[in-house]
Amino acid sequence: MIELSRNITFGQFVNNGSSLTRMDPRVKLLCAILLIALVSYVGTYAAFAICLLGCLAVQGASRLPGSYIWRTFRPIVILLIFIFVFQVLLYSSPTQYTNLIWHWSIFSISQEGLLHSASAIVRALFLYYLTALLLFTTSLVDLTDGMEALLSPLQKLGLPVNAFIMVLVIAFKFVPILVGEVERLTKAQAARGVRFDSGNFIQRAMKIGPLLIPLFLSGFRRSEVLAMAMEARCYGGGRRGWRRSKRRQLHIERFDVLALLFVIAFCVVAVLVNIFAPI
Amino acid sequence: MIEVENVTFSYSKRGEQDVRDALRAINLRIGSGETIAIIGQNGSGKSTLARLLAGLLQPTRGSILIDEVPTNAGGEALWTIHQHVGIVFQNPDDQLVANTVIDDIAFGPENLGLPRFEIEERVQEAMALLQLEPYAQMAISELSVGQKQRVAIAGVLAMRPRYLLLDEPTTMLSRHTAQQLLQTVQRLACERGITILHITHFMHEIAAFGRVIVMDAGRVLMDDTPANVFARGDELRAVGLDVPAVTRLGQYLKIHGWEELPDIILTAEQLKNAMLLQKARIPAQENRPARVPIPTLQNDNRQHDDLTARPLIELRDAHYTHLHSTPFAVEALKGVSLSIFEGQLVALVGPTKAGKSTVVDLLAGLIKPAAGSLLYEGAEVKTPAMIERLRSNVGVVFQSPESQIFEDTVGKDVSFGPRLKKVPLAVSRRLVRESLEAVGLPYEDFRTRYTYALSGGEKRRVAIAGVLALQPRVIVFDEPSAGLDPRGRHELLEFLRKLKQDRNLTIVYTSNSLEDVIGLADMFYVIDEGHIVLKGTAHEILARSSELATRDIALPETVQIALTLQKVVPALPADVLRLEDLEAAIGYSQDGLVEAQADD
Repeated sequence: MIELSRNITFGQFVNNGSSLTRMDPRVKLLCAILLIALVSYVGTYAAFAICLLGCLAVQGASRLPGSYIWRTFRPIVILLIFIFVFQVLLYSSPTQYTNLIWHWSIFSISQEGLLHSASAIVRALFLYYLTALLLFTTSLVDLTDGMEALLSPLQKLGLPVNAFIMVLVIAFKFVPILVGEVERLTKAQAARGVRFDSGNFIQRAMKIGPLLIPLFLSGFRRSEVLAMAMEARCYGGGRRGWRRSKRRQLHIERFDVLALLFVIAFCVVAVLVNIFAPI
Repeated sequence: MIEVENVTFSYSKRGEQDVRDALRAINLRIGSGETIAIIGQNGSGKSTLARLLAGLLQPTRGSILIDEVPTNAGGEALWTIHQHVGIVFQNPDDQLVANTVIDDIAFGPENLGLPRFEIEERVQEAMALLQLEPYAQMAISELSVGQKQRVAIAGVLAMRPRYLLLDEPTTMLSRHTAQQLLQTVQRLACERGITILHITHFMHEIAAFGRVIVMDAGRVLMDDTPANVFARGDELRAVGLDVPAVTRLGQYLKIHGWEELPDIILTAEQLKNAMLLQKARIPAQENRPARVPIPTLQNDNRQHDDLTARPLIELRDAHYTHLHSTPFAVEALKGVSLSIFEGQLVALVGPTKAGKSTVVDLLAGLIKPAAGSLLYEGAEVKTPAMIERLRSNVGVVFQSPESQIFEDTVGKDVSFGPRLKKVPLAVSRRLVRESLEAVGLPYEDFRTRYTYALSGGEKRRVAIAGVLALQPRVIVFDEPSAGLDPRGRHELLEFLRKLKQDRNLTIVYTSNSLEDVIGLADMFYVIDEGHIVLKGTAHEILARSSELATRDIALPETVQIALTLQKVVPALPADVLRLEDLEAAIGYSQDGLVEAQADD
């Protein structure tokens, strides 16, 4: 049955009042960056296991139902499998010594290739998991405020941080709107005889094609109105020396400091495990 | 003061020949503190004018001065104009930037770079003006459309504008909510001296404004007080507009016995008072209750009421939850039962978010009820084959059908369904021809036209033709009258009447007002908060009008007038469906009045 917005959940903020949603956005972003750096750095399975524990702890603190979070993985799993297959087949070792299992023409499967690709996929999954958790627990305003605060040194260098963040915010704002639009168009086509809920993966994907033009048209129309509405409310990125002020003042509470210390300690432990653990 | 000097505007970028100017040589002077309504049919240039006044578009020729600042000076000048001229658009979803109420209202003052305490002060003030304080921390996505529209207005007011432009802000609101919103706006004009320019195509909204500007084909056709504008009823009708029902009634009554009524009546309240005034002059006496023949519709739906008849589609105690098992789950339907009989026109009326669209999706087989059942021709729809059968027999015209055209030419789009069904080419061609002609578009002329170049009204017709070409037994129209001007609404109703008569189609029609279909539908279901709260024929529903009012469902204009006039003519029935019936009913009572005097 047709209910897309149920399955595309990435990027939605769930305001359930958990301690994570109440955290100071700067500290939360910093923690997220540290954790993301950690999963990109570590490479052993013991360290990955510890990272998984850490992520599960964060998920616990978010008080979100597990089934809801697992559902966010659905849309990317197929993509990751696709990437995995090609990475394995096209793997070329930097050292030339590989335990080949099978090969044909430029395609081959080797032990090193499997291991290397598996850890790349695991990293991608962690990255997605952490970003999803961050977005689930952070409102757009928090996200912008946090990013603006963290990136303010760049602003001093003359980079258009403000404009960059507004682009990001609007892109996120449009995700649910576009999903809703796809759902509406899908229904309109289904009502005229297109069967979206049958056929294999490729057949289904083919049916999305005709939706794209009306989807982009309505997307453009909406963004045009939004741009006008923002301009009418004096959002003028092009104006010289223009600076926004902020209604909200951010406060760092004890919980934020503790959380940051905990994340730092966690990273140190994970890095140590990564260095000294055998696998 | 806004001064518009000889302004022409064209959307064509490189002087293309075939693009008509959206505005042609407009001259206007708008003083501060005025309340102005701008009316005109779709495509008459109203929105373009608003965007020019707000400095969002620049005139192609001519000039616009806002408090002596030209809108085309750019830079600092434009910045000042944006501060002084606030604009609110039709769809609040397109203009709200932040995701909580308070943050969105603060967006403008933040852009002005104001210090924190002043932002806070302005935000609190704007929230107080629109009674939004209880919602301050709520997410925008949790609000109703009416509340969102109030947030949009508050966001503009927090800029402390001198001019407030409202570009069809009531299109997506129920009539009751719209009335409240307009009262708030009028209050602002009074208390704060803000100049209001309200664009609309609902004639009944205009009465309270000081000045009316009527636009047609990019020109100003009339610029006068509401009474003087409505005095030119024929001219208004010629440009696709209309006069309010109460004005027409007043004109009729003036000829038929109520000589002392003013020429132009703007509200039911005014009509009542004028009638009371005339009555008071006639020596006081008890009105003999007049025998008023209650107009009845020739309903043929009674034949379906015997128990042997089987509904074509039936919902039994259907439940449905949107976004089931997510934190955003909303229980849309909480046990809805309804029956649709062959050949009937069934109206499903309810406020926004009452569950109408969910019922539409269920009837069309696009979603399955979570509990309860859906029956088609008496058999439960469960297997994929049954769903397929239901879908191929139920066509749906969704809200804003003009955005549901998938192909580049009209012929291809209308034949979309038949081609999927793999019908032979000759049959498909015949279906396309018949469907296009049924919606009033000549086949030879329109077959090869590009869909993107059609007007809004033509696109709507093409979308309907696309559904007709599927040869459904049932057509569901989901809020088809939303956003239509008076002419568009009139054409739509005529079209429905014809469909029902000529093709014996079963029609389901959803709306948030009873006005549209009151004289047309055989059966009404009133839905609110996921329950069917009332069902019956037009008269049965209207007999419970007080209940409808509490549910944010506007009564038809004629009924509202009748209820007000009961103070003058106590015998007046409240369930009058057509203006002629109302005229007749008051006429009878008047005769009664005169007779009673004669008896003395």
